[in-house]
Amino acid sequence: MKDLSNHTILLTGAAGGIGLHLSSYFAEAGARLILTDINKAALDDAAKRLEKYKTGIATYVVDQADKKAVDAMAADILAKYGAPDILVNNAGIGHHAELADTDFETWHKLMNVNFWGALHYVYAFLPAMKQRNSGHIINVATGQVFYRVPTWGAYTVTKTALAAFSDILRAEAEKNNIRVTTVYPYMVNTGFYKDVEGETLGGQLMVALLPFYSQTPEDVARIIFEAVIDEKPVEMVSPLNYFGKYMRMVPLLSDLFDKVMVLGLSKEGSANLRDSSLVKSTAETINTLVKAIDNRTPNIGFRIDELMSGEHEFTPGHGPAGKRPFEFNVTWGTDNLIEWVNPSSENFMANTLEGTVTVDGLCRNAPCKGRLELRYLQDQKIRYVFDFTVDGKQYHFIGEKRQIFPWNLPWSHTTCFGELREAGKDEVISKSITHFHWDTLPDFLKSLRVVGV
Amino acid sequence: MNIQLEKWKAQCNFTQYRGQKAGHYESYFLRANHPKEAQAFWIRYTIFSPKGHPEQALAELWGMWFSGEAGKHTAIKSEQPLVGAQYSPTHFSLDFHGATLNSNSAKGAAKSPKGEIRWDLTFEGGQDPLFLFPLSSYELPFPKAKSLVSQPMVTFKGSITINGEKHKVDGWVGSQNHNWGERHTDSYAWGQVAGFDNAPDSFLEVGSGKLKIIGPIATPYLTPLVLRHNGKEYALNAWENILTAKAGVRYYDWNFATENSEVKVEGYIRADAKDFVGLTYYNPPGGNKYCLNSKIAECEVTVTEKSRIGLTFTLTTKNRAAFEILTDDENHGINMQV
Repeated sequence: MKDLSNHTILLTGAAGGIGLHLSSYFAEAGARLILTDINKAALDDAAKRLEKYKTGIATYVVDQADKKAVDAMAADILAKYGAPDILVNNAGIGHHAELADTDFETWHKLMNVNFWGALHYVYAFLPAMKQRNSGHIINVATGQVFYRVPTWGAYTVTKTALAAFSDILRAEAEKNNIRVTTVYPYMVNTGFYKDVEGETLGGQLMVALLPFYSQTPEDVARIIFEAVIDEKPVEMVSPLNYFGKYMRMVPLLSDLFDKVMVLGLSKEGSANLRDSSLVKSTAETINTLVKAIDNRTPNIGFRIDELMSGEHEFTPGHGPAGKRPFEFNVTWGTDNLIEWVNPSSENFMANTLEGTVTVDGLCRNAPCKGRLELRYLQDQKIRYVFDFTVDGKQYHFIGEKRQIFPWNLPWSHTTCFGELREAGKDEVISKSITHFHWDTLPDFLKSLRVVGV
Repeated sequence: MNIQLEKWKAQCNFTQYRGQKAGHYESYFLRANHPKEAQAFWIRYTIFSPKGHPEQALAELWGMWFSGEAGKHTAIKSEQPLVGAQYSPTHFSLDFHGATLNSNSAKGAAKSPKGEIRWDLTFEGGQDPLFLFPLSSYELPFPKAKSLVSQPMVTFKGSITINGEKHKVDGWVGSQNHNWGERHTDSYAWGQVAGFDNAPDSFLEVGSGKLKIIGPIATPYLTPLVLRHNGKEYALNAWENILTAKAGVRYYDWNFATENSEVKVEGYIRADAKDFVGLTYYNPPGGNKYCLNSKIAECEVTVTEKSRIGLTFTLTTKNRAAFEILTDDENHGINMQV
């Protein structure tokens, strides 16, 4: 095992997650630490947490996307401590979106941190390492390099570039006795995947099941630390990565994997499913049948009365402070049940809506009119959209019951998150959360009636 | 987004009372401490409905003032029929015969032959609601008594007037709370700190309760604890934590220790007998409970994070802790003011 006492280790992104845990392993091994991060408060906290290991710790707050800042910091480090024995390029940022939805500003930010940031460090310290004829550089990539999961495109591209750089550098720097290790953490339970939750069915499942297949930052840090000690050229970290790596060698499997991921993780996955040729032709057949039935059947529909009540709060400058009652008492339904149940119809599960709304501080029982869409299949939502007028001014309300999945129906199907605007304006003047109260269920069910018979 | 949590956060102050015959108590309370001195106020709006007799339900108003320096505490309660009082299962707004409470203000008075406490307060800021029990337990029949902090760490402004003597309240930090149930927990100790002396932004909520199983046989102390410190929430309120925590409750000293795989929290809350007020709580099934309460208690909590990057730290306050003991024992040694 490599002896790390009297070694100087420079870790980037050291204020939290894998970086902080990895720092603790180096500190425990007696190494001097130089910790860098963009977040000063978190970096100070990290240094405090590592004090118990009683090793020398220096901290630098730096934005690694800024080459000048990294160079200035490197000059100070070289003057005070010399070239680090080990440089760990750990800092990185994630991004979850389809490529088409990733703007260039985001691309630049990801490249600047994940790729250029790491290179800024390497180029700042490589000459001194070469001169000393020793050094070890660790570049933290990601298992996405192997999986290339759709919806993680930009992040994966930047880390793939870093992994390629790292592998080539290993070959080129060997002659200067400089080791380079590329590591591929995957599915680490650090909160990195939090923003995926709730957006899609796949995202919900992925986050819900994360504890069963993910690794903790502490475990990953230990694996990386051991790889450094053993001077391994590549550390796969997660056994899942082997599957990803070899799956990409089988085009059929690779293609199937991508399709499943797009369906599960993409917001438009359900829409794509609807647009697929098989579903389209099936829908057309159903449509033809339904139209044939429709032409021979009188239009019938239904109406149901629903009361949603709760509270709202005016945004600053639009009304008095504090939570106030908000309620809408509406009747919704359709005149054409055949169209309503037809998945290929534009009015599939779409309803007209009419009733009254009370926005305490603005209006009481104002007549409102709009539309209710049961979007269970499209984006797992129920959407209430209606307009009403107060003192000649028109208001527009959009309320959503969100993340409606079979396992959370008692809450998701009864909670509506709403925003109120003046018609035609972007600014939100009030935010509300209203509830379907279970004690109104009997009246709700009793109110269901058929119309048009 | 956890929809169940968001739903409960949104409706945590809605009144649970529907005139049920099974008996019901429901209390909204505000409490806060003076920024520097050993002074505190505690205001309660309570619905009490005796089992089998909802027509006898009461709207109670309680005003308590603690002055450690003067060594004098005042507690006043008034009772009026619940009929005529306003409250809502769909939003947070109380009007108990002119005494009002909503999400950012409270105005009213408790009057009795002993005197009068008036309050005129506004409050703002604060943190997300804090749930002392696992979220699902608020929707289940067990435990019978539910408790949550609707608005932790709110800052109060206004005045409290005791028998005509007006006390200015400005920048006092405390909380707005809500609890309810079919019956009071058989016996418990409850504590809360809104701002420690060495960590002014940290919030602690902890309880140790015993539930009678059959006859006099009761559970050991069940202890849920939630601590918010430095942007982190240490929630030791999963059932396995509640059941395995240790607690010892004496007059007037309570210590507790609880842990999970990530953190250990141990501490104590205590106060001198002279810093308590004694109150009588009606219990919906019948009979009374003795509530011994101090809002100027001492508290110390030591947190040990178990991970290899974990910290150990101690939070203390000399007189900012709320400490309540509920008991059937008549020999508790505290003068009953109400």
